Amino acid sequence: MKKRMMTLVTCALAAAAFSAMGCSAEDKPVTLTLYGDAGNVQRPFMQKLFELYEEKTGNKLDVQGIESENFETVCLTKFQTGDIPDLFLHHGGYSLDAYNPAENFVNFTDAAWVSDIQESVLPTTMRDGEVYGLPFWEASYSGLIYNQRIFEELDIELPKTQDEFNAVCDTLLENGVQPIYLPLKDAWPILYQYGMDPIFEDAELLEKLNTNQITYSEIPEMKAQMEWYKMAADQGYFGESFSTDTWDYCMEVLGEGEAAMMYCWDTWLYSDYDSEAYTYTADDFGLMPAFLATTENGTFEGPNCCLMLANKNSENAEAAIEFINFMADPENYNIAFEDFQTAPVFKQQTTIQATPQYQAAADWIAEVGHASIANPEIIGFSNVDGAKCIQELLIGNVDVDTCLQRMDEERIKAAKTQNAAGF
Amino acid sequence: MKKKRQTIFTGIGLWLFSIVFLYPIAMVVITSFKTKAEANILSVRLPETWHFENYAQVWEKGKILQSAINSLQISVGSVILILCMASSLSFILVRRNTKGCRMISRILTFGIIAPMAILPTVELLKRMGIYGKKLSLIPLYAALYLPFSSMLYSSFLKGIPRELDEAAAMDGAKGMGLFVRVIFPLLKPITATTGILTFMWIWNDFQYPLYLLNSSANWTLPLSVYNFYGQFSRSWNLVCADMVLVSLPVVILYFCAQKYVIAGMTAGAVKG
Amino acid sequence: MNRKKMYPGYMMAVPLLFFGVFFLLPSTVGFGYAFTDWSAYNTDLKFVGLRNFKEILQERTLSTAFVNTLIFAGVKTIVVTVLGFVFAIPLNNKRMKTTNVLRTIYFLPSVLSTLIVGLIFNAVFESRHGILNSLLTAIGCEGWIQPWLGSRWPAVFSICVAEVWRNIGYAVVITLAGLQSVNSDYVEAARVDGANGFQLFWKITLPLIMPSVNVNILFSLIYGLKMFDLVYVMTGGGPGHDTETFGTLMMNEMAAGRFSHSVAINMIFTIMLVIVAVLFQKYSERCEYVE
Repeated sequence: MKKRMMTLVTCALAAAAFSAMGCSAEDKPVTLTLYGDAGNVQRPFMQKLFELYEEKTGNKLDVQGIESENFETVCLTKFQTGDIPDLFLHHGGYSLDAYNPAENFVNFTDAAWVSDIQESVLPTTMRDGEVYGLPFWEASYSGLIYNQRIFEELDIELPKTQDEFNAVCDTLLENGVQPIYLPLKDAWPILYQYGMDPIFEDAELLEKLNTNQITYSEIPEMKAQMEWYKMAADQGYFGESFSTDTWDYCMEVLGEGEAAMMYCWDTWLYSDYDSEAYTYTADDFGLMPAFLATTENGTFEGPNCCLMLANKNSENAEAAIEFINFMADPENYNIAFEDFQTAPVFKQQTTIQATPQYQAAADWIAEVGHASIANPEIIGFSNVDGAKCIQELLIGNVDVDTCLQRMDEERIKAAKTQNAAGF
Repeated sequence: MKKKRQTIFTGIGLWLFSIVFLYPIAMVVITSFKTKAEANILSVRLPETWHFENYAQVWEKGKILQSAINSLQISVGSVILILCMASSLSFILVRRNTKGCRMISRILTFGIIAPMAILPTVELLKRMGIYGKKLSLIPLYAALYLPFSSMLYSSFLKGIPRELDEAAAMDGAKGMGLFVRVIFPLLKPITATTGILTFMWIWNDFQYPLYLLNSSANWTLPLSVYNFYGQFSRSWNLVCADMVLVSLPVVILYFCAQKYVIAGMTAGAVKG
Repeated sequence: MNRKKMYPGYMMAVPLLFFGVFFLLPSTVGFGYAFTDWSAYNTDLKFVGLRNFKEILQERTLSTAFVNTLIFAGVKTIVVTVLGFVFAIPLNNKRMKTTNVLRTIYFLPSVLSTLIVGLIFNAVFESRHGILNSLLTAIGCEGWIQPWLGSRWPAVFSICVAEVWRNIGYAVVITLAGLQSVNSDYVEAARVDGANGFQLFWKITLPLIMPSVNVNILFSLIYGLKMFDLVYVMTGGGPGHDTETFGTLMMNEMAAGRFSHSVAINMIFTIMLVIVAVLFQKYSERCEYVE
């Protein structure tokens, strides 16, 4: 009996396998593949638009969210092995060069929708003067989000200088509140590039770095930033378990008031944060500059848009271009962004409003805000590579000088691989 | 009397230790029925109400059916290919037993030892024009597990006397005919063992699909778990339900065919 | 009848062709890429001699990966082999009625995908709601609490634990089968001669089951050296590069677009594995098959 059962199971398995093999017939509507960071493709406005597109056109989207920590790694590997999706969601700037935009992506410089993009956003969509992707994205401002209610309860005034900020952290610590949640294990949420924007706003310095005439180690502000991280970790500003803290738990830790601040962007409070699940709601948080010791008064980072790019060599290239034009249609983006809280990217955007955090901090942003420079413009910059060096610094494997030296090594190695001039 | 007591004590000790294996598994199963909030702290505490709908949600969002079909096609296809190739190969190797054959056996050992050469494999598949296709995994797995399977078959074949071949040869059977009609039926137990073991390994494998499959329509179950974890890692209840769904087929197979699995593990080792 | 006629060579052709094309070719000829300047940004290949190897040997991470790989394989092999005996000996007791059930339970983890084992142990060692830290709190050992995956040695230890958990089943099953195959006449004879339990095991049982133990050790070593999935899922080679292994290094280099580096590491790794296997076979002698 038992034996017969086994045979039966085996036969059933084999039959199922082969019958399924036979029925992979071609379907008429196009299926477009899309690769993007798992967190990015999950954005509510993206999801809404995907649904809208599938509904209106009958085409299908095969959306593959790739885990954030290994996003660049996995995507670069895929591209290099010739596995290029029809649609690709990626940030603009220098990091896009690794994907060889001129050869792989459709050039949209002459597309009608280019004139609909806000002037302040347009530069982030360009590479070598060409537009390759549609910034169908939120225009968020980054800095430190902080729990206003905890600040009020402890009678803490908003810091204006680095020293005042350090004092705030000490006060929080004295009151048993972890000052900052830093998800070190995931590497990318260290977001150390915020502190670097003011340094490399100096175009001359950036040019020198990008032609290998100067290194991080030789820039005093960079050293100050790493020293501050080390000091903060030693003082307990990042709590006890920062070395294994992950992004997954940030909502819980902030939402339950265990920690008071986190490096983040304003829109996150409305696109990701689950107000209903925790003690504190999104409106309880405010936005202040990131104080990372590179500038006396802290710094906000301006929007850094994700671009939707189309593979020009795909057999579905036409459908992919149509998809992007579909996204750029005011009627469609206004549905997708309905009630979303962020600053507008498109001129005809009518259904969104800026976050209360942005509105409250608008003057402050005008005062100490900087455009996003480090991430998109530094050759060989990798958010994760550098963050791994900071991990080593904070868990005590290396000192500040070695940390910077290693960040340089990683950057130079990447630049060399990319055949950048001067390296 | 003393011996009996000793037996009971070791029995209790062994059972206590089995908690180390059972606890994490029980935790995953129980968590899969909880709400997201309950699942936040992983434990074996029973949920207030059992949320079977977690499974429906995972089934839908995790693309389980498509991935299961892919896994099944790849595993079944590879296993059949492995069984055919390994049995006939070891038959000839064992029976001929010449210097050349022993050389081949040594080269096969290299297949067990050497790690996967990822990039050259990708290049090879690209040149053959099958890179990214799910069926390209079948010949790869077949080549990967051929050495181990041949080893199992060889040790078993050595136990079948050559006189049997000669008797069959008297009736005019030779080569393929001899093998298919006379020898292969005798190999049933080791075929079952090899089949089940390789099936489990291929079903669970994560590295090959990670590197070699692209479109999510081609993903295997373990890859879909990984992807699911990436997207829903804050919802441990769903992640656990997904893990249960993915493991269930191999666990059931293991329970049903345990005899063969264990026989195979030991045949490979003891007779080695 | 002639052996060649009775056992025709063509029956080996297809299997050997598959093995040659899909395994041997990439793992031998494919290593030619290690001597070129192949990268994501350069597909117009040039021969560069040993340059890639020189560059790799200067990398800090290579020695870390080398040490970690040896630790993972060594610790796993030793612990798993010893625990295999620790559990198999009592299970071999014929008066134990639940041997089969226990064996089934101990083997259960080996049936699960490494990926799932990795996710489970992420939950065990996690610092915020991790099971291990909660347990330590519950039994009053707060002093032992730490971020397990947050620095090198605890992380290496945690990965080893997960790997051992997954592999004990194999060791128990193989050792137990070895013990069960020992002819009880030998043991009885020795007992009559006045040998005590320890002597029985050391002088009679162990030599008899040594062949199966050796195979067990060899497989443990090889698969331990090749470990990738668990590390990838649990730490991704971090914090920093502290838990990097050859597997994760290859992946990193590939991802950074340094293809020829990745292939060169792959080649070094293959050579290392072959050396380990050959050395081991020399010392144990009895692990050959087919002959």
